[in-house]
Amino acid sequence: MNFSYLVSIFGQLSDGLKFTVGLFFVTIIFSVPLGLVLSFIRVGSHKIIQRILGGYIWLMRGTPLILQLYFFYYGLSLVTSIQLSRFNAAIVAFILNYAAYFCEIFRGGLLGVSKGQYEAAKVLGFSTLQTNVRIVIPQMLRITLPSVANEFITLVKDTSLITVLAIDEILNLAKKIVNTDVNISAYAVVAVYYLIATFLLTKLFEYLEKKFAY
Amino acid sequence: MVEGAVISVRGLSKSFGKTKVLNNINFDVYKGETIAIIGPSGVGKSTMLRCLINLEKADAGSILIDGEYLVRNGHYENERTCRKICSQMGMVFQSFHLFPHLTVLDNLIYAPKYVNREDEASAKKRADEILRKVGLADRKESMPSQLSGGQQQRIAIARALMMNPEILLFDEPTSSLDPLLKNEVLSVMRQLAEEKMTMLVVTHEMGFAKEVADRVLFVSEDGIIADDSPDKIFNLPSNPIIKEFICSIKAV
Repeated sequence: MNFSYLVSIFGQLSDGLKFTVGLFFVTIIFSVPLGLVLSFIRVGSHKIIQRILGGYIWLMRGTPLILQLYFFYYGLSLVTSIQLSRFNAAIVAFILNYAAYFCEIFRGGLLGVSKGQYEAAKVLGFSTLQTNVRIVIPQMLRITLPSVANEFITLVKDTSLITVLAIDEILNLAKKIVNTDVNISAYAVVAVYYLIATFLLTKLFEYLEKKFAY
Repeated sequence: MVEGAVISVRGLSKSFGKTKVLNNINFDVYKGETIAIIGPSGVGKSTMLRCLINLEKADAGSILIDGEYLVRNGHYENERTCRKICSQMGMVFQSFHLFPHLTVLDNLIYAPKYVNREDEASAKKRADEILRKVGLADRKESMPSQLSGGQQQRIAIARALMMNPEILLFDEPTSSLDPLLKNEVLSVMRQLAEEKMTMLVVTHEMGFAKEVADRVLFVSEDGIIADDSPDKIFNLPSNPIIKEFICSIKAV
C-alpha cells in the first residue's frame, strides 16, 4: 500500500459524491421546511390532523430507514402504479424520514419558547404570522440548533444506506474497489470523506451557535 | 356606562374551570388617572388586568375601552376589532418578556415597523427619545440578557411607549426586582403618572400606591371591596379585610 494508491482511490471515490452530496442537500432543502411546517401543525389543536401526523411520525421513527428505502423502491410500485428510479426512491424516503425527525425537534423548540413571548407580541399588535416569523421561529431555531446539527451529521452518514439500492455513492464505490483490488484501504479513504464532511458541519454549526447566541 | 371614562368594566366575571376568579367586577377609569390595584395574592388582580387587553377571555360582563365594546355582555367582537381596540393599550409584565433574540433597539422598533408600518428611520428616532426618557440611551445595541432586571423592565416600558398607547397596564412590574432595581422602574412610572398617562398598576408596592396613585382599587375574594383615594384606603380603611392587609404590611 502506497500513498499514490490512496490518492487514486480518493479520486475514484469522488465519482460517487454526486449521489452522497446530492442526497444530503436535497434532503436538507426539503425536510427542514417540511419539518418546520409539520411542527406548527403538531403543536396546534386540530385533533384529526394531529392523529394523522402522529401516525406518520410513528411510522417514520418506528421503522428502519433501510426498510423505508426498500418500500419506496420495491414496494411502492406494488401498491400504486408509481415506479421511482433508485435515486428518486432514496430521495423520497430520506425527505419523509428526516422531516419526521425535524418535526419533533422543532416541536420541542416551539415548546421551549415561553408563553410570555406570545403575550408580549399579542399586546404589541403582532398578527399570528408575524409573531411566528419574527419572534417565535428565530428563538426556536436557536434552541434547536444543537439538535439540528446532530441530525445533519447523522444524515451525512445515513446517505451511505442507499448502497442497499445499488446506487454508486461513495461507500458503494469503496466496496467495489475493495473487492476488485482485494485491498481494504478504500474503506479508510471513504472514512476520510465522511470525517471531512462532519468536520465542516461541526465548524459551521459552532459558528451559527455563536452568531445567534443571545 | 359612565360619561368620559376611558375604561368601563361592568359585571366582569371569569372562571378557570370550576374556580371562579372574578365575580361581577365593576369599575371606571378616567383619562390621565393612575390607578393602583392592590390586595392579597390569588384574588384575580392580574386576571382582571389581562381581561382588559384580551389576554384572557371574560365569561360574562362588559368591557368598554374608549367608547368601544371589547366585550358586551359576554360577547366578544371579532378578532380584528378586538385587536384594534386593544391597540390603544400597552402592557408591562412582571417578567418583562422582552424578545431575547433582538437588541434593545429592535425590541423597540419591531412593533412600530412591522405592525404600524412606520418607516425605520422615524421609529429609530423615536426610540432614541424614549430610551433617553427611561435613562437607557446608551444601551440600544445591548441584548436583553446583558441588562439588569430593572433595566429590562424599563426597556419593556419603553417598548410599550413606542406604540403611543392611550392606556398602560402594569402587571406587578416590580415584583421580580430587588429594592434598588424597583426604584429605577418606579421612578419611570412616576414620571409617566406626572405626564398624565392613564395607568392601571397591579402592585404590592404600597409606597407607590400611596404616593403616586390617584385612586386605589382594593381587590379581595369578594371582588373590588374598595375604590377610593389612597389617603382613605391607607389611613381610614373602612373594611376589616383592608384594615388587616394594611396592618400586616405596616408590621413588616
